[in-house]
Amino acid sequence: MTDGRTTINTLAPLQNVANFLTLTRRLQNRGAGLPGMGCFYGPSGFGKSTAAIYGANSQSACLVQCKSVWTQKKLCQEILKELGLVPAKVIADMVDQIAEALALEDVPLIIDEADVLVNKKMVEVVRDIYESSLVPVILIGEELMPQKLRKWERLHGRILSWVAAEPCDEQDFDLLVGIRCQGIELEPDLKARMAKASNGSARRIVENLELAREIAATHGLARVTMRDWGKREFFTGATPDARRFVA
Amino acid sequence: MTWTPKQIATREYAWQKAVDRGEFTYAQLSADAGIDVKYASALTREWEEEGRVQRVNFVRGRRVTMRVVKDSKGNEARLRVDGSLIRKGCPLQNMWRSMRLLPIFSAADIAMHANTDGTEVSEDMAKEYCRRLAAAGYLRVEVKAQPGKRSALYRLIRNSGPKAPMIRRVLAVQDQNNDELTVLQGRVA
Repeated sequence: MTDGRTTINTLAPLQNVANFLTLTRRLQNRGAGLPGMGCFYGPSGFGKSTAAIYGANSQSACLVQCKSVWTQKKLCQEILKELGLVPAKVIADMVDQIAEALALEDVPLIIDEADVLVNKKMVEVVRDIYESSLVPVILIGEELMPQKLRKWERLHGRILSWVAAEPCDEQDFDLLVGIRCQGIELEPDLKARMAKASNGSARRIVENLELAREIAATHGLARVTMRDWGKREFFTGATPDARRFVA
Repeated sequence: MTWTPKQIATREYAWQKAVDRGEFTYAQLSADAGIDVKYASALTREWEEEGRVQRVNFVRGRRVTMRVVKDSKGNEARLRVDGSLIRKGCPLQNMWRSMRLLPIFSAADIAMHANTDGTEVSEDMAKEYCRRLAAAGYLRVEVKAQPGKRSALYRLIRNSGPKAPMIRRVLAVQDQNNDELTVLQGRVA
């Protein structure tokens, strides 16, 4: 880099991470009267949660990962726990507690796996939290989340920006190679096969690179080629086909 | 000048409180850190000489307001438009947050997620923290490390809350007769 800033071992230049950070900053610096919620969506494995963790770390944000069994009460309790507060008894009080703490600390609230909120009709609680704290609230979910959110017009209208997670491109791939396989060179052919097998999924790229790192460490190699890889399968995330048995 | 461990702890605590506020008066610092106002003003003058804090709109006879301009390592502090300090993440806090969110992880994963532009986390730092937490029973080793081949994979088994567990060196007394170890409360080695 010309500006002398080391980009090694940091996820910041990754496309999705950069998009997520831009979304957060946009919400934080929004003009008066503009809504302050955001939505980050995309298929699983694209690095949404990684971007969220990185974003939470860099902004000291409050990040919760929803579980399918959560109720309104549990959501509020978890957010409060994350903020280091003792939850009140009833949901109404908890919402006030959360709003006060978020507004005081002035940190964004990030909710991962927000599909659960939509499916279980819990989005109104999030809207209440946003309305009473006015801090940026970012919902992260699967590809179809924007369509699912359409049903809740009052929430839908408060979303300033919809950001889609993109599949990893060549630049992202090289960056991940730099992070996960430091000091190891990968043969272009192997790289191409790996990128194709990973199909743009950051998770699979990292899994494949981890295997390459292991191969290099085991055989003491500085350069891993297709021949070293041998007949090992690439992580593709594909499920095996159904087997057929002859009766 | 040499300081006793307790003095060092008090001074660091007071500095942390000053950083948390961004802008402070002697009285506020004294109340936050639980120290005497005179001590608060003496400490502030020391920091001023070091260039860590600056006076804000100083008017003779009025209350002195100070602003944190540099962190303890001498780096420029990041301030908001209104003068309050932007809290930088702390390496331990970033690592702990990543551990609580990733289902299974290696030290490299933690370093990758926790190393942000404001907070530097190296892989060695993450390795050390993982090892200590594993020894303390916070992490379970899912896949054992094979030296020179594969690094260990961990899972968080004691998610005690949002604040990161800290690694401390403590002063203790060991009784050689029965091997009992008594930690001296509030003392750091």
